[in-house]
Amino acid sequence: MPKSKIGTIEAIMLILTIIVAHSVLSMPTNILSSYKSASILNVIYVSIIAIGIAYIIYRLLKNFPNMDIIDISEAIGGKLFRNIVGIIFIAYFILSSSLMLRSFCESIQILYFPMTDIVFIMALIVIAVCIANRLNFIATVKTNVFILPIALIGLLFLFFTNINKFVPQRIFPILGEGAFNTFVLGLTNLASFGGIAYLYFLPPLLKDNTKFKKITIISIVVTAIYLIFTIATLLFIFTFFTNVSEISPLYTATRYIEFGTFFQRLESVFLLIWILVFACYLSIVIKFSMGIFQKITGITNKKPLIDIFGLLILGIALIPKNLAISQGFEEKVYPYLMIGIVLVLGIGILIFANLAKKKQIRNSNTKDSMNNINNTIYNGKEYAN
Amino acid sequence: MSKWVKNLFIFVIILVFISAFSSSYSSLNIDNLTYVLAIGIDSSDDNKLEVSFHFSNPIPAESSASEKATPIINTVTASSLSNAINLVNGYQGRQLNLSHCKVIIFSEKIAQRGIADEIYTLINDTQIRPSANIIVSKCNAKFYMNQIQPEIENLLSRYYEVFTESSKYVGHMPDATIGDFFNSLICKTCEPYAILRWYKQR
Repeated sequence: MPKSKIGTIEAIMLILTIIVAHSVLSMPTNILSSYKSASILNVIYVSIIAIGIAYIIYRLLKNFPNMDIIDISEAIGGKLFRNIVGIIFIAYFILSSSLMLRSFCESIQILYFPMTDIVFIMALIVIAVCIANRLNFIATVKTNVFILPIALIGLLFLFFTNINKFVPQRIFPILGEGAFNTFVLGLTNLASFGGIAYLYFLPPLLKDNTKFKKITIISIVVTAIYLIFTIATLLFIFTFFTNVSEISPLYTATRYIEFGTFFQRLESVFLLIWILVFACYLSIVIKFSMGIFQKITGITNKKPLIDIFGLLILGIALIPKNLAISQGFEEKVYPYLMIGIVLVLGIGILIFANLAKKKQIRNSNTKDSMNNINNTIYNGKEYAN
Repeated sequence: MSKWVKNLFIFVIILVFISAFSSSYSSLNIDNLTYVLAIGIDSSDDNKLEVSFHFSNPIPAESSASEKATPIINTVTASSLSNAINLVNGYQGRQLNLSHCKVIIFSEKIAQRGIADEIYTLINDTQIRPSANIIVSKCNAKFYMNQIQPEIENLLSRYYEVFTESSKYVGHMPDATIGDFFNSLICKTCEPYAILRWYKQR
């Protein structure tokens, strides 16, 4: 078995990294400000749909064992189509991670490094990620398996330590600003399940491909539970997030944790954990982008690409003039990008590939049956003779 | 790339980052900061704010444990709370830091006028903690700050931190924090509340 293959837990943690990294940015604020008191209901509703989508993706990928979406694109549309799909996915991964890096580093700058230029804060993270990426893929994934549970436990800790400040009545009115807003417009919240994008690239990386169903379902269910806990914590503590500052809402929630006068100011510990999770997220993004790039170009050595993708992320992260622009991307562009590329394009390719495969099987069956008939006729003639 | 060039490159990178982050380190260094323990907000005659800052005054190591620290209170008049903070930063050698601010005192006159603007300013300040208490003083806020002389507690910072603890066993004083106050302020079905206290002006 190749050493670069990953196990079930590692794959689940890999998908979960995406939601944890996104949740420390403005994603929870966007959900709360859009759906108000119906945020939890919306998250539950969207989670059910996301689980359904993940199951559909599993069913569609099942017919193509050990193939990712790039291989499938090549099979149905040739090299040109493969290259187009590859470039779209690379652009999606790099663009979203760059602008999220910008938002995250802006928060760090506001909180801890007010006199340091944002370039240096971002560069420090990107350099760390580039160095980590020089190790093999397993190193990144194993580090992730170590760090991510700490972040997940951290969220539970945040939930239970703030429970005395909860006002559960904030879930009323239960439909928030109406059923249409919660259930129809609320579908854009599917973008919270950004980890689905990585499911398309998992099959060739798995040690045991039969576990893919388990990985898909568990990772999306745990993502949903994480999201529900995040939104519940924020909704029950704060009166919506429409009027409060630009720093991460989860960070603001951590400032409420206090155990008398002895145990205070735990937010620094949380920020440290989130920095590590964010570095893991960037590592995964670079790894997957490099993998796609290698497939579409056919290069043998991926290592020189690490710095190029690192610099690309840093360069794109520098484009927004301020935090408002990068947060605007998160709020107004990212959800549609995710839905368009990951859900519409990705599932579209898989459906088309499955139909093409069925047609191919049907044709080959027809050919086989025709051959059988011919053989029977021939054998019959022979027998008659 | 030879090993020598690689090491030189790493050395240069480290130097660049040290110089880039040193400015933030020095600006947040304890030697360059003045910690505000309490903020008092009064109204002035020309419809501006009279903002008083109560600074921490650490007891020198050589002084006895029973020696009390004298309060250091600076007052400025400004059109807003942010301007007041900037003004004090302008003339004081050290930068104001509100991360240890335990109490925000509003005079009754200001409270009757409405304190939403000041609360928004404070809650958006990353240094102010949501656990800081809000007091509405029937007397002048500056006068109130001057009068606080805890008899049992030597350190004023400690007194400010624990004085609302009594809310756990008596009903005379609520634990009214700025976090709860802000949440109630923007909630359509809630009413914000603060601690009401005063000293008699002679």
